Amino acid sequence: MTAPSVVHIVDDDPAIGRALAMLARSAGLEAEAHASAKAFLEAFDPATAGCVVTDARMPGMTGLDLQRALKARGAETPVIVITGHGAVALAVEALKAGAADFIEKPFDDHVFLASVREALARAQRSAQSRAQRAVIAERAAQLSAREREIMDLIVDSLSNPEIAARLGISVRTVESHRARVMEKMQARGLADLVRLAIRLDESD
Amino acid sequence: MRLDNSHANRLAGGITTPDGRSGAAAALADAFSDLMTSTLNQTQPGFARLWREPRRLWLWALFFITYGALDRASALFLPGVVALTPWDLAGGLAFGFLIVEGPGAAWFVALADLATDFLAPGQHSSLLAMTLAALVTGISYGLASAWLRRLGAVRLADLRALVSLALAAALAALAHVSADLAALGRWSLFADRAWAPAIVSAWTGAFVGILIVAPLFALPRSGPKPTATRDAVEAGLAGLVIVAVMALSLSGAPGDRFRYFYLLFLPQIWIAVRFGVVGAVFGNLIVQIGLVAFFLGGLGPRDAVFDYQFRFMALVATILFLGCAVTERRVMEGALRERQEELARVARLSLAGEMAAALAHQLNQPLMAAMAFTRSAQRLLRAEAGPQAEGASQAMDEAVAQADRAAAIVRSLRDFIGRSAPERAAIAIEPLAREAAQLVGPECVRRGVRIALLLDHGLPAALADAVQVQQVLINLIGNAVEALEHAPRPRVIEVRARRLSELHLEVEVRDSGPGVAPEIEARLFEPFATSKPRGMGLGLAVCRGLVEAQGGRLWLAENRPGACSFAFTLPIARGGPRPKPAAT
Repeated sequence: MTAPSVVHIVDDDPAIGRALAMLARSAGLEAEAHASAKAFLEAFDPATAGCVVTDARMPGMTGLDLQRALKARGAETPVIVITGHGAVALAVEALKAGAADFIEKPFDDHVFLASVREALARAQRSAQSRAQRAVIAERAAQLSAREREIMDLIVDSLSNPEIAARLGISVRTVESHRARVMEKMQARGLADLVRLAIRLDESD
Repeated sequence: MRLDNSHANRLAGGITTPDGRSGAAAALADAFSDLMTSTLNQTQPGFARLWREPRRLWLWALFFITYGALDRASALFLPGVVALTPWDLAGGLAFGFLIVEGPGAAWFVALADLATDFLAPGQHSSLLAMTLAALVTGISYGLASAWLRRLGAVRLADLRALVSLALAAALAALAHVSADLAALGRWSLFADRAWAPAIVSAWTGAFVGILIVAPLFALPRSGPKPTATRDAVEAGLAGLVIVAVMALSLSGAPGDRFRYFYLLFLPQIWIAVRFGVVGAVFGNLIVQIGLVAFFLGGLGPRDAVFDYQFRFMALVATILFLGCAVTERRVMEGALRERQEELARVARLSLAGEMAAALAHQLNQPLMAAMAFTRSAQRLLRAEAGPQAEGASQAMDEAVAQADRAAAIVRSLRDFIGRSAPERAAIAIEPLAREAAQLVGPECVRRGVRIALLLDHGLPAALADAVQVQQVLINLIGNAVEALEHAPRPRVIEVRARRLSELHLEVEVRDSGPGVAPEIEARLFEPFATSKPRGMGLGLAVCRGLVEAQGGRLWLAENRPGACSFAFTLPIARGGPRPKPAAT
């Protein structure tokens, strides 16, 4: 799968869009400029979108609206909000709504690039953890209903005889199920299995 | 402008006595006992103050002497008949003295009255009778002044104060002349059934005396006054005309006595209209002095003096009321003008702030782009090596620094002109809305627009800057009035306010106009978007900025032909003064 690395710049002023995209590219990043939040959302691909840099004040859909729209779609793409000087209330609102960062206009390149790199790193971390969860979920999908049940009881730190008593089956049967669970989940030991099961719960 | 009456009542709430015990007698008894208590309470400080402030002692002495002199001047005319004077100027002085010094000085007035009566030549009354009469005078005048001070009507700044003064004077004068007539041996007047005209004559003298002299002690601090040289010349001229007309009206043959009297109204009206209550008081004083001088000089027929005084009462009262009305009106106009100027100033400031903000935004964009482009070029140049690339990179650093400098200038300009932080306090919406409606009132009348205030009862106080909220209201109402210019009648503006949630209240300004055009609607709150031929398009942008500065929102709530509505929210003041529950 592709890494989420594209910097999307959303600004109603095309000069700003072009300039920031160029700045990002000059620093070796992939960047695209969009003239409005609507245009951006139409072309939005959560798999490749590394982060969004958006102006807070735009006619039609504002930066905050865009933030909400992304959230509503379940996208975890970090959003950097650009505000005018002194728009403290707006910045606070953006951060409350879950913005990764906000920068005041006008800003110099290192401020912008530091913020963008931080957001991209965050996006990549979350993409990785998403991918890991997907792998674990794939493994768990191979478990039979009984195996799943036994895995849950193992994670609840029950011993094999306890599980056998609980389910009304022999200890031997539990042992063979347990071995298959460990195999299918590709767990290296009990501790590893517990870790995988917890991550599985997170993704549910 | 007409305010919707039913809603005005809703706002005011019903006024009834707390325990439902209606009855003028009970209320009167309560008022009287209150008055007596306060009078007695004030006696002590009045007396004690005298010793603490020696200068006051001189004032009291001056009053004592002037009182005696005026009493003698009045009594000169009818020697021996102490109570019957056509101009009780001494009584007026006592009334004014008590208004200034408080009812605590009433005992001193009684003392002065007793002394002058006692020293009057040709008096035949007993000391007891004179003491009684003096006590009644002191107490009745003292009560009158106590009542006026309680009402806060010690300055003739409005008609309410004047009506209170006239009422208090009429009652006090009645008590005073009745006591004098009864106590000072004028029983013979009762015997030949002449007591009624005697009381009327004496009462007229006492009443006019108060109306002439007491207002001198109750002149308002504000209102029209002859302060400039030109005004002083005009006032002097009016005084001369008054004297001339007096001479003309008094010098006629006995049959013509009153023929020219009514001409006195003309210069008196002149002076009252120009200089308000101050002009009226001094005009009246001139007329009275002229009258006294005329009769004392033996020029006038003495039998006519009461006839004159009776007519004179009508003149004095009329002119005083006119002067008071003029003063009240001018003071109100002045206050309204000040308010309008303040609002205009605030509007100008926020307009300048919004323009600076818009300008800063517009300039920041290209500066920002220039900086980013330059930095991009610099980064791309890093791959190249050599002195030329280094020089170019340095030049780019300089370019960015200059763009940054320009941005800093724009920023400081904006900060300098920008809005000051709002002074937020717990404010009631109702008086703000009412005042805003009043300020737009004349415009509404001209355009046949009716404003209705539909504010929910028990609306909580908002936490906001009163001036800024009012500016928003005036702006929205003003827009509504303009929107109704070509609308079909009835042209109605409704100002509504209600509690939205625990945290916010909502104010709505709705008009029956054609609504906002769709092509404007999208950019309605952007600076420089307007549908008005002479508008800057900053009004709504300013309003939104002001409301957001209070922590509220402003939006177009409804937009269709016949119903266009703008609404804004304000945070509710927590822990602030809550409106009292309505009296039941």
